Amino acid sequence: MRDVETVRATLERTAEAISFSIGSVFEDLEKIAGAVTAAAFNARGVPRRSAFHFLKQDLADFISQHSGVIVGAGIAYAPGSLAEAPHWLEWWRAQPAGSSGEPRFVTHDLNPDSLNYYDYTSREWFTAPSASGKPVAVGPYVDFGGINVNIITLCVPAPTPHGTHILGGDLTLAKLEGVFLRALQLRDPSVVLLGPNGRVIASNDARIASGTLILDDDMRRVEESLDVSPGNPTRLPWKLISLRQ
Amino acid sequence: MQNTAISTRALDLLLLLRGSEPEGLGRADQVSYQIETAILMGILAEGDRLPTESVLAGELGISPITLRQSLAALRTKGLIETSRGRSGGSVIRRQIELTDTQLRHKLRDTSTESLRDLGDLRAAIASMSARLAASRADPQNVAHLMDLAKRHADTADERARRRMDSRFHVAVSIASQSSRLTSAALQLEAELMTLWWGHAEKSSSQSILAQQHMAIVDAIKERDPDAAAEAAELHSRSETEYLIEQHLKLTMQAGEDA
Repeated sequence: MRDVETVRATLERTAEAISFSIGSVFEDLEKIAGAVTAAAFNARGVPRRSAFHFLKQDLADFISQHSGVIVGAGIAYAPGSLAEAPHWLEWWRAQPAGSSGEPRFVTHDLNPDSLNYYDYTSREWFTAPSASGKPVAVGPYVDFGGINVNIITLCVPAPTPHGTHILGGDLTLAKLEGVFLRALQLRDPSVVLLGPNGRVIASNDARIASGTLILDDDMRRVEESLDVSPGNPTRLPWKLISLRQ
Repeated sequence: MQNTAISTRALDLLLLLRGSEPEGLGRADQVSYQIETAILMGILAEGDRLPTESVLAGELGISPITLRQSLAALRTKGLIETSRGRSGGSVIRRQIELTDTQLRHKLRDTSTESLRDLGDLRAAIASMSARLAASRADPQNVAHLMDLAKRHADTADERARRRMDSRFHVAVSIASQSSRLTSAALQLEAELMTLWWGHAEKSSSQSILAQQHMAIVDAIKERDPDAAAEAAELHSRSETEYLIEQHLKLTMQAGEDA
C-alpha cells in the first residue's frame, strides 16, 4: 500500500511542477492578449497593423523569459479584422540555444493556391479558442507548414470589436520532456503525461514514445490517474497516469 | 606502415554520404564533413590512401582548389597527412573518437521525440532494404552479411562493435541493390554514430541484438522477404528503444545533479 501512496505523491509533485511552469506562460500570454484587446478598442475604425506594433517587443520578451519551455509565439488575426489583408499571421521563433539575438520572424505561406498553404483559420489552435473564447493548450500536433515539429500551442483569445484574435505560445515536446523527467525522477512504474485524444506528451518508458498515441492495452493498465491542472482542466487538459506492470 | 589505396567500394560509400552534412556549409566544408563522417564510420581507416587530388575532385564533382581547401582543413585537425612526390598523396592518420562525455551530452540533448522520429525512418529503411535484399542478394552479399554479423557478435570493444553494427545495416541496404536506400541508410548511421550507446553491462541485451542480426541474415538467405522485413523492423525498434532508454536515464540524472 505504501508504494501506491509514494507513486501518487510523485505524480502530484510532477503535476504541480508542470502546471506551475505552464501556468506562468499562460499568465504572461493573457497580459499580452489584454493589451491587444485594449489597442483594438482604442483604434478608430478598423485598425491597421501598425496599431499592434508593440507586439513585436512584447512577444520577444515573452519568448526570452520563457525560453525554458517556449520556442515560438505570435498572433493570428481574426479573418477580415485588419485593413490591409484578409488573413494575417505574425509569428516569431526563438534562436537556437547558445546563439543570442532577437527571435526571428517565421514566414507562412498564406497563398490559398499553394501546396504549402497555411490556412490557420482551420487549424485547431485557432478554431478552438475562437469558438470557446477561453485559453486552451492544443496538441501535441505536427505543425506542417508552420514549424514542422511536434508542438503544443498555448492559445489565448483576444476579443476585439472586429473579431477574436488568437495569441499563441509554442512548446516543443523536447523541452516539456525535460520538465517532466526532471520533476518525476522515477523509472518504475511507467508514468505517462497524456494530452487530449490520448497523445503521449512525455513518458518515462522507452516503449511509450512522445508523439505516439497511447495503446488501448496500456490504457487498461492505468493504476493512478490525475489531472495536471485540477484548478483549470479546460485550459490545460492533460493527465498524468501510472501503469500497472 | 604500408598505406593502401582505398577500395572502389569505400569511395562509393564516401560519395553516398553527400547530403548528410548540416545545412549552411560551403562546398569545401561539406566535403571535409563527408570525409570526417566516413572516418567516423570506419569506411575510411587509418593508413588508407585517398585517390589523387584530380581523381578525387572529379569523383566528388568539385574543383581541385575546393578539394585542397577541404584537405587542408582535415590536415589541420590531424586527420590526414599529405606527402609530395610519386608515392605522395593524402593518407588517413587517425580514427575519430568522440569522447564519452560528448556522446552522452548529445544523447541527453536529443529528445525522445527526435529519437523516435529517427527510429521511425530507420525502421522504414531497414525493413524495406531487408525485404528487397531477400529477393536480390547474391551469395556473395549473403556471405558478407554473415561475416559482418559474426564480427559484430565477436567484437568486445564498444566503439568497434558500434561501427560493425552500422556497417551491417549499410550492407543490408547495399544487398538490396538500391543506391538511394544505401545513401539514406549511411546518413542515418552516421547520425547515430554521434550518440551514446552506453556500455554493454547487460550482455543479455547485446546477445539479443546479435541474434536479431542473425535472424535478418537467415531470412535474406532463405529468400523470405516478409520474414526479412519483419526481423529488420523488430531489430530497429529494439535499438531505438534502447537509445530512448539511455536518453531517459541521462535526462533524469541531469535533473538530480542540478
